[in-house]
Amino acid sequence: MNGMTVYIMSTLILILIYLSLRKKIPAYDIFVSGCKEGILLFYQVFPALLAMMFCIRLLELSPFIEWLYALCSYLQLPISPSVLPMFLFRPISGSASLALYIDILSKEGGDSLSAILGGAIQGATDTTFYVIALYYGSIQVRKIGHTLWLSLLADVLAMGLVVYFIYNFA
Amino acid sequence: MNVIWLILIGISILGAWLGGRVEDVNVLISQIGKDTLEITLPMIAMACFFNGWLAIAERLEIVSSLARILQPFLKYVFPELHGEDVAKGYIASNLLMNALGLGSAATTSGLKAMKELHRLNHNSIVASNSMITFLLLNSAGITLFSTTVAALRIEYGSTAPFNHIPYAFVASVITLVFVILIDKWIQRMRSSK
Repeated sequence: MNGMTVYIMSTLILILIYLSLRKKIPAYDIFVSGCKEGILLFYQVFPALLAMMFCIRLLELSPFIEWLYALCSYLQLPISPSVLPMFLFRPISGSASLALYIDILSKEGGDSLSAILGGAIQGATDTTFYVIALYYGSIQVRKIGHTLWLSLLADVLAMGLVVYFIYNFA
Repeated sequence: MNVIWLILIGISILGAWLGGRVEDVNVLISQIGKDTLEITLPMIAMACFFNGWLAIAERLEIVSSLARILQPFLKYVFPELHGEDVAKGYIASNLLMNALGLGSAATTSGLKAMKELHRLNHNSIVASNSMITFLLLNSAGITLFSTTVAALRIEYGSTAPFNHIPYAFVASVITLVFVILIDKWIQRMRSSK
């Protein structure tokens, strides 16, 4: 199985190339303008990320992190304590959880259990508060019914399932 | 967020003073900009790269063909949108692009979907059932290609930067089913009052 998966990425690109030629679309131009969207992402992400990285690194310089680590070893949690804040911040702020994830990666490496766990959390949930505020705000809707608590339930459930799966199958 | 951020920074600095790590704080202040940039730049470069290919896939109408596949699912989840193809089109677009990791394009479709749902709801300030369900689908977060995460993992030496996806996918599908069922149940309770 491992031998086959090596070819996946190149195959996908070849398929796109074939289809582009057949449908005669300006792939190069589209690629370039798609890339520009990435620059826009940088413009949106970097400032918020900078603010959060500063905050997190500062926290690490304070004794509070030591207390958190001590608490975790006392409770004998199987989760690396650096991942814990991600559970809390993921529904609140995308840049906070991203910054936390980067921090985890820099400390434990891209293939560590925490990297997989953190990555799965990023993938399985979304920034609930922000999305609700943005989407409802854009149409000036005030009464949102059960949107918030059910979305938060979804986040908690997804995170719980991710932890369960990773600890039993990874 | 504003208050939390300020408080966290405040107590961290004071904590650092107490811990005698004031020098480290100074070092951090002078380095944080550069450090964050060093981390972010490769990540954005990767995101640009993947985005370019995804843009091609989108132009190739792969997204719209996949959207058509979603139709039966949408028919079940949004029964009150029967016949409203424009709204369903935007919703499908949003869900697909989120799944493919095209965050900003997904948000554009999502906002258009909300506008359309709002119009269909007679511009009421009360959220319609479709809106609630739509946001729940977003929250459940089905993602197939989290390009940002993959780009970061590659940067930090991962040899299998996509192996978090199966866990995320299964977890979010289960969550989705569960939450949609609850949503439907609540809506049925509401309408029978």
